[in-house]
Amino acid sequence: MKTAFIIAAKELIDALRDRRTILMVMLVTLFGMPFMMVVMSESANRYETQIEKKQIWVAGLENAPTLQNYIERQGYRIRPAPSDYESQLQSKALIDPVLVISADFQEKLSRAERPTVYIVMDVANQDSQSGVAPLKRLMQGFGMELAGLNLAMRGVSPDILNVVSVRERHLSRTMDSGAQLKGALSMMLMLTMVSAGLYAAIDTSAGERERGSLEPLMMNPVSSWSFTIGKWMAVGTLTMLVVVLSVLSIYPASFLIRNETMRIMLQFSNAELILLILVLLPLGLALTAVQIAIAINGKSHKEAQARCTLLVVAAPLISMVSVFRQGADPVWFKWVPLLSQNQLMGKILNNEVVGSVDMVAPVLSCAAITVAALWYVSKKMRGVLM
Amino acid sequence: MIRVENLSKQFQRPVGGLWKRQGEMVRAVRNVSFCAEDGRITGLLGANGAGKTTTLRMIAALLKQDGGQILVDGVEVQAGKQTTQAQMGVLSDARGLYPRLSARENIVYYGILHGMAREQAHARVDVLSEALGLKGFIDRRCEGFSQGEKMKTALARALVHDPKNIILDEPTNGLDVLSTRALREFLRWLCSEQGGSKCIIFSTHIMQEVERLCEHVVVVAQGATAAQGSVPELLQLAQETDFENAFVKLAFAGAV
Repeated sequence: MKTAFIIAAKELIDALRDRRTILMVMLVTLFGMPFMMVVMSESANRYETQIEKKQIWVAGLENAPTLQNYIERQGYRIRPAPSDYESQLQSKALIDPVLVISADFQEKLSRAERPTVYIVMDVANQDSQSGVAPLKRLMQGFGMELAGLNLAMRGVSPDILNVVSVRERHLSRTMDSGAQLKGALSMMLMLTMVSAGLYAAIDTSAGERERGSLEPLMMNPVSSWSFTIGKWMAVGTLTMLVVVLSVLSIYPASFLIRNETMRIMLQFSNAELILLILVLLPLGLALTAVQIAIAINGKSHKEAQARCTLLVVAAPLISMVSVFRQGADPVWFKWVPLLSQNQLMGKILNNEVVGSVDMVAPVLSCAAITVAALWYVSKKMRGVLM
Repeated sequence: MIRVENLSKQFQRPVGGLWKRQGEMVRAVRNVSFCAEDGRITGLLGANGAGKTTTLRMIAALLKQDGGQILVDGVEVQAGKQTTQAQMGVLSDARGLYPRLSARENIVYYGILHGMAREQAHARVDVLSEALGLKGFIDRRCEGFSQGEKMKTALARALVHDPKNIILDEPTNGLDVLSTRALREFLRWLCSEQGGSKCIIFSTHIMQEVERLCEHVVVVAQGATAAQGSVPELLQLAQETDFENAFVKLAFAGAV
């Protein structure tokens, strides 16, 4: 075991002197997480202002004084739509949908002929779509008010239109609203984990082959297991270092977030952050072992990189399986690395209790994968030379 | 002492293409036998592709032989096993260094892997750097080393644990005249009683080197031992006065 530590120390020094590895660590930890969080908060900000700004664009308002009266009473600011609103919507110069009122609106209304209004939007424009629902609600309200007045004039209670009273009661768990942000956060951590130690993993296996240092190394009277464990410990340490830094970067990143709701959601206790790291630790070590196992078959950096790309692409995708599923997660999820960690991260981010029992299955499956991958590496290390 | 008896090895030639197909078999080593005594430099002389490197890799336990036996100090060599490696210092044709470590760090790392204490390894580096002329660059990172600097570092690395048996595969490649001379002197010293009467196997295709250095020469041709003996013995055997002519006669007897 002492030899394995000596090997690990050498590999770590070697990796930390490598500019490419350091650049990767810096990029991922210093910019990755904060950048993602700022982007997310900005998009949330935009969505919220959309709902809150209470202004609508109307074309042909002069044709509908009754409607204008109603809209203004609801507290909306009416802005006349530009004449070329269609092309402006398409070019995204105008982001909100436009309410178009025909010239005979008031006349048809007075004759009870159901005038038609149009809500014009660009389907490809996300922002204009989110503005459609408030407009529809507004028009529905207008219709209800008029109908109610008509009925009242005829001595009928307007309540006859409201046969059923519908109200919403929300059952969401505490702070479950930022699902999107939390999903992105766990995917970012997964991506960090597979890419952080990648270069070091390749350098320690295929790199040794490429520069012709594996053969002399194997002439030392040290077992393949010691070499494998030593190399794995070094790359694993590097990977986990990056994961720890990424998790810790949530702190400074939260200062950059302008969106109040998000900032509150991202206030984690120290215990939660430590738990998050503990959940990721077995996965990080297993992924490292798998990366080395894949890379050892490559004769050069380039070849190993091509082989490992598959893992880099697949890992975040596997963790996204749960996003596409609806309903409760099946039991087998917790036996599948990546899926189980994703599940646990979700729980931690939602402030749910994660007990040590929840950790057993993920730790066991990661340990099994680690042992299998390391066994393979130790067999291959001398095998590739023969 | 290293004893090699009836060694043979064949490889499957790799075939390109999308699917791995079985290539034809190539017999790299057919029948090589020799004995390298302690306190003697044994030269393995042969043309390119004669099977020298394959033979040396099998002695270093890096490759499994198909037939024959290798004994290092009476212990049988088993490929992939470390039993005989502690007593062996090998400079093979793959002699890569860690570019981000200094020459000293490279050498000390191997010393420690051979079970030496760190201080002991550093002391040994000082001795080797004096003998092989590494002083000028010993604390520099290996990145950007010249061919000769790389070779000297790799050589020191192979000898750091003061092995009883030394195997050198074309060690003078890339060395200038002065360095080659220094290496020759050092190898002679290693063979002497003061140097520890080491057993040295030295593979090369350069006649001059063999003439000047080796007390025992094994001529390898087409994967088999063609002749062996001291330089005068081989000259006599070939009935030549020039060693190059003698080598050509012995190695390519059938072809020439």
